[in-house]
Amino acid sequence: MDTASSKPADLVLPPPIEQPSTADQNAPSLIPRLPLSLLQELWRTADAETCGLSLDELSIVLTAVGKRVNHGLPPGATPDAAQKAAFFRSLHLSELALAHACALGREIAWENFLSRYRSALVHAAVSITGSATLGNDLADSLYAELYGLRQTAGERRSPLASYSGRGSLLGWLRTTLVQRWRDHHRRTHRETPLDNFDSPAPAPTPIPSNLEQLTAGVAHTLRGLAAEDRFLLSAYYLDRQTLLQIAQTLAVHEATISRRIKRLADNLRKQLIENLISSGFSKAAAEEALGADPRDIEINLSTLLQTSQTSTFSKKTAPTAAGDTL
Amino acid sequence: MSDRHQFEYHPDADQISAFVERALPAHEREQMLDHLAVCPECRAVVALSLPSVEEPAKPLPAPARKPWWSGWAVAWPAAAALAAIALFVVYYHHPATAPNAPAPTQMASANPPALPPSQGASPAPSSVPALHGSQPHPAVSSRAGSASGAGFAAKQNHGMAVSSQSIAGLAMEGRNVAPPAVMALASPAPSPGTTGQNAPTGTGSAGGVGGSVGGGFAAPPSAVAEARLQKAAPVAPPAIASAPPATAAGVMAPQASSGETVAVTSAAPMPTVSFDAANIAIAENELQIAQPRHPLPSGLPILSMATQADRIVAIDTRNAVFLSMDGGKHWKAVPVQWPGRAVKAGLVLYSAGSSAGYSRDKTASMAALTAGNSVSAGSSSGALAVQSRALKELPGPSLAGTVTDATGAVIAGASVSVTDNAAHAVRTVKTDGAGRYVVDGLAPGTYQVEAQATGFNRQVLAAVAVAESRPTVQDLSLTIGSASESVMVETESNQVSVSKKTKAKSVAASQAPPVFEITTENGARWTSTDGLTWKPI
Repeated sequence: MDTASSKPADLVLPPPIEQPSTADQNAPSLIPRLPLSLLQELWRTADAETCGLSLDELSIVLTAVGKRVNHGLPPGATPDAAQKAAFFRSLHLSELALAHACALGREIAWENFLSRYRSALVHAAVSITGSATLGNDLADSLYAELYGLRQTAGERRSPLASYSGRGSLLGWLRTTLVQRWRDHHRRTHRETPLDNFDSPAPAPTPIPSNLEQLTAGVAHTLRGLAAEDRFLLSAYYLDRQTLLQIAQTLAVHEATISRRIKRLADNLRKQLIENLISSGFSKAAAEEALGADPRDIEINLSTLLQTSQTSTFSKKTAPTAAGDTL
Repeated sequence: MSDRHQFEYHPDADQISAFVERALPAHEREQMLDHLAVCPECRAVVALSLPSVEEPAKPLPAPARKPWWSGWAVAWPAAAALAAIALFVVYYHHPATAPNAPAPTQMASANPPALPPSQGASPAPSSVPALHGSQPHPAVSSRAGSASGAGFAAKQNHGMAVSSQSIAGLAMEGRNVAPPAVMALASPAPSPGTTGQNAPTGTGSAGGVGGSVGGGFAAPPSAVAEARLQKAAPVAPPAIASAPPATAAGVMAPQASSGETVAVTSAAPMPTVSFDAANIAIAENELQIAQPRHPLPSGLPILSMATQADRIVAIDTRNAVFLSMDGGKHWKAVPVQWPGRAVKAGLVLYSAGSSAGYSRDKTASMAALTAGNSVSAGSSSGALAVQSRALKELPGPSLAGTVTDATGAVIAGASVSVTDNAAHAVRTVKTDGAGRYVVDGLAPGTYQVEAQATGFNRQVLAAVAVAESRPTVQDLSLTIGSASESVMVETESNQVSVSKKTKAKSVAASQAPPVFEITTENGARWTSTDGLTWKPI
C-alpha cells in the first residue's frame, strides 16, 4: 500500500478477551455502550456468540462504526436514539461481528470466515487479476494481511477492523483485493525499464491564446453539472467504461446511461457555447473551438474533460479520513 | 489502471464497497460521485469492485413493497379505459359499422319479422358454445351491395348485416373452426339461429337461421356454401354450415322480397369480409358435410375435407391427403401424385347437358375447414340464400328449391323430378346435402315437380310456373309416411294446371356423380373418382 488512501482504517484492537460474555451477562462496563435491550437485540441478530464476540466488544464496534459515519447522517447532524437504532439495524450485523471477531483473533471466527469466504476470495482475486496464479497469490497475500500478521507498535492490526458493515463483507473483500491489485500494478509499473524513452521529450506545443478562456468556460460549465453527471462523463469519455459497467455502478439500466450521456453531451455543448460566447468568443469561434461537426463532441469532450483540471475536478474529497480510528 | 493522477485522499475499501452496493447514504454517495468524477483511480477501483458475472451473485435486499397506488398500478387501467373509449369512438363514428345505423327502409318493409331465437333453434348445450364462439351480436345493417351484384364488402368487427338485392336471405356466421373431434361431438347440438340476433335491429334479415358449425360425421345432411372473398382482402375462409334436421328450422325467405339481407357475424375480428356472388356455387348433387369421428392417422387437424357417400378425402394441416372408404373409420394415405401441396379438397360435379358456366359445380364443402375464421352459411334458409344468389347467375329459366321435412329440416338425397307439361320431358335431380336442388336449362312454362325420398311421402306440385327472366324457387316439404303413399298438392291458383299427360322423356337423367377435386397451392386442380388415382384437369 503505497498511498495514504489505500491504507485501511487500521484499528488498535483491544486485547483479546478469553472468556466472551453472553447476552445474559449484565456486567458493568466503562465503555459507553448502547442501550442494553438494543444491544442484546443486535447481539442476537449478529449471532455474535458463534463468532466469539462478547456483548461489550460488539458494543464497542457498533459505537465506533456509528461515530465514524455519524450513524448515516450528514456531518454535523445529531442523531437521536431512534436514528441510531435504525442505523445499527441496517448494518450487516452478522458479517460485522464476524469481521471484528476475526480482527480480534478469535479462532472460531477465522474458521467461520474461511469456510464462508475463502473460496469466494480466491474466485474474486482470479476474476480481478485475470490469472489463476496471480489471483491465488493476491488472495493469499490479502488473507495473511487480514489475519493480522502485520504488527504496529507490538499490536496486531487487521484491515478487517475497518469494515463498517454498511456493505457486505464479500464486497469489502473484493474492494480490498482491487486496492491491493492496484498497488501491485503500481509496483510492477515502476520496475518497468525505460529503454524506449531515450529520445528527448518533444517540445510542448504552444498553448493557443484563447485556450485559457476555453478552459475557464469548460470549468464553469462542468462546475454546474451534478456529481453523478460528471462521473458519467468521466467514466464514459475518459475511462472508456462500457455502458454496462457504468450502469452497474449506478444501479440503473444501461439504456438509461446511454440516454443520459447523449443528453448530457448535447446540453454540455450548448452550455459550453453559451459560456464561451459570454466570455468573449464569437459564436463561430466558440463552435470552432468545440468542433464544427456536432459528431465530434465526443472527441472534444474527451479532450476538454482531460484538460479541465480546475477546482471542480481537482477537489480532493475525503469524506472520511482514512486514518480514523475507532 | 492509470498512473497519472495520485490523490492524497481516497475513499477506503469500506466506502467504496458500500458505494458499489448502494449502501451509502445520499450525502456520502454524492461525495463519492464527486470524488469519482475527478479520480480515475477510484473509478477503476469501483469498476473492478463490481461483482463479475463469474462470481456468485450476492442476493440484493428485496425492494420495499410499493403501495398499490404508486407507479403505473393506477395509470394502466386508466390508459386501458382511455384506449377502449377511443376505440369505441372510432368504431361508433365509422359509417360502415355504426351500431345504430338505420336499416334500409325498403328492406325493413319488405322482409317479414325475423323469428325469435326460440323459434330458430333451441339453446345449445353448455359444451357447445366453444363451437359457437360468437356471442349474439347485434347485427348491423348497411347498404353495401349494388344492383350489379358485384358483391359487397364491409368491415366488420362483431356482427353486421349487409343488404344486397335479389337474395332472399343468407345467414352466415363466422366462427372459429373447432378441432374435428370437438366438432364431431357437438354435431347434434342445436344451433342458435342468427335470426333472433338480427331481429332487434330491424334489418329485415329474411329468416336467416344460422346453422351449427361442424355437422359431425353422423350428422344429417349439411348445407355447404363457399364464400370466396373478393380481392385479396383479409381472408374470410370458406364456410361450412350444417343444419341438424331435428333442431335447425329452415325458414324460407319469401320470394316476394325485393331486398335481401345477408347477415354475417363473426366471433373473431375480421377486418374486411367481401363476398363475390359469382363465386358462390351450389352443389347439385348429394353432398354431406362430415367430420370424421376418427382422427387422421397423422393426428393433425383436418385442413380440408370432401365427402361423397362413405368416401372421404381429407387434407391435414401438413397437406397430407388421406382417404377413407368407410366414412372416416379407417384412413389411408393417398400417395402424392401432384406437384406442390394440396390445400383444398372438394367435390366437382360435371353435369351433362347443363349450360356453360354452371356445368362445373364446385362445392368447397369442407374446404371451409381451413384454419382461422370461417364463415359458415346458415342452415336451410342460409343455403337457400346462397342458392338464390347462384340462381341469379344461371342463364335462362331454371327451377330450384329446397326439400325439407315437416319440421323444416332439409332432406338430402331426395329425388326431384321436373316434368315439362308441354313437352313431357322429365328431368330428375337429387338434392344435395343441404336439401337443395337446381334444375337449369328449362324453357319457360309450367312444370310438374315431384319430390320423393325414402321414408317420406311423395309430394307432387302439379303446375309450377317457370318464369322466363329469372330463376324460380320452389320449395318442397315432405311428410313422413310409407313410400307407397302419394300426395298430390295443388299449387296456387295463379299457376296453370296442366292436364295433358304424355309419355315422359328423360332429358337429363344421366347425371354424372361428383368427383373429388384437390386444389394445390399453385392453383392446379386434380380430380379423382375414387380418391386414390388423381389426374389433372
